[in-house]
Amino acid sequence: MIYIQHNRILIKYYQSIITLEDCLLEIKMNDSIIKIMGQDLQIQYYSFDEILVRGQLKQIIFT
Amino acid sequence: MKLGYDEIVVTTDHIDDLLLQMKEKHISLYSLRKIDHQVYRFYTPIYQRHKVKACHLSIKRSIGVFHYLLLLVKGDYLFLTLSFILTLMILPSFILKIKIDGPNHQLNQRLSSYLDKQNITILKKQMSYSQIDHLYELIKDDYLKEIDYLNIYQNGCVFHIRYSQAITSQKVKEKYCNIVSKCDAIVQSIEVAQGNILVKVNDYVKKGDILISNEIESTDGKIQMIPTYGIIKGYTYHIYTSSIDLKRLKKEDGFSYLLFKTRMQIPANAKIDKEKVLSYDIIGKKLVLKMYYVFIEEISVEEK
Repeated sequence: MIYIQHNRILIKYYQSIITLEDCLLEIKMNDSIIKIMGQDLQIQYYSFDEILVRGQLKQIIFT
Repeated sequence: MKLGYDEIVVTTDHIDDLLLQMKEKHISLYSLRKIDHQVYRFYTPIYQRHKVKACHLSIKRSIGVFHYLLLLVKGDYLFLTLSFILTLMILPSFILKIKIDGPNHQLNQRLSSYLDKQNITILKKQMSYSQIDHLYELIKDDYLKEIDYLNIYQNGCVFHIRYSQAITSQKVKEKYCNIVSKCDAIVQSIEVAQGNILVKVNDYVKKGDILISNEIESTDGKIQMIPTYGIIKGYTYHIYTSSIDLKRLKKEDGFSYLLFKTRMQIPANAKIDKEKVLSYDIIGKKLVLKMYYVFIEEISVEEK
């Protein structure tokens, strides 16, 4: 489940984080991988079942 | 929980493994970001500190109110904190001040020493209501002739005794002398409690005239002596003159100074009814201010 709002993106029920960079974030979901590209990306909140990412979002790719 | 956080900086080339470990242990992270090559920074809530330490992560620093509260109950501050809390809890149960309110200073001192004898002193435990009642009865019995109204109570850490003196214990000396006028005046008001009043309001009286007489003629023609007590006020008339050397002040500057100087001479108990400038001139080498005053003041004095 994904919520996108302005410069934030909330991802629920993720499996794990694969990559954590300033401009790239890769999150593994149950059946796909979400690639978030942007600038000054940071994980504002990280818990067992959700991640809140904040930064200048440019592109979100589902693979 | 937004009251306190631990800041953690980790250097790792496998942040994904670390995050997975955190996820498994149900640790929440805040503001996770990469700050340098293989260096990551994040915050964890203070209440999850034990879980963070289990992951062998070192805390760089802590922030927030909860952190400072923890500091108070740790280490060197523990003794001070406990002392402070104990002081707050214990002190209100002791008497820290004894206040005796009453008109008779000597009786106040006697009551103070009486309380000492009853072992009621500063830093003694506060009294219960039954003890206060007992003390009330004791004081009432021992000072029956001297005290009319008595109230004993505790307000916070202050022990109060309030009393009013018994009317019978107040020694009033009656005076049988005439009350006369101390100066020429016109009577303005008459407040007489005892005595034979010989004047009326607006009467002109001269110095030494009897205002309240100590004699009264009874119906059978006999003259009886009676006590006298009262206050009679009157309008009195005064002229004040003040002067200053011309070298010291100019005429235009001198008036306010001389007026102030004149008013300084007025008796403290006199009330100014009228104030008039009679003259303001240079006489010789001096500036001279002549003022006319009507005062309302007490004119009654005991006859010598």
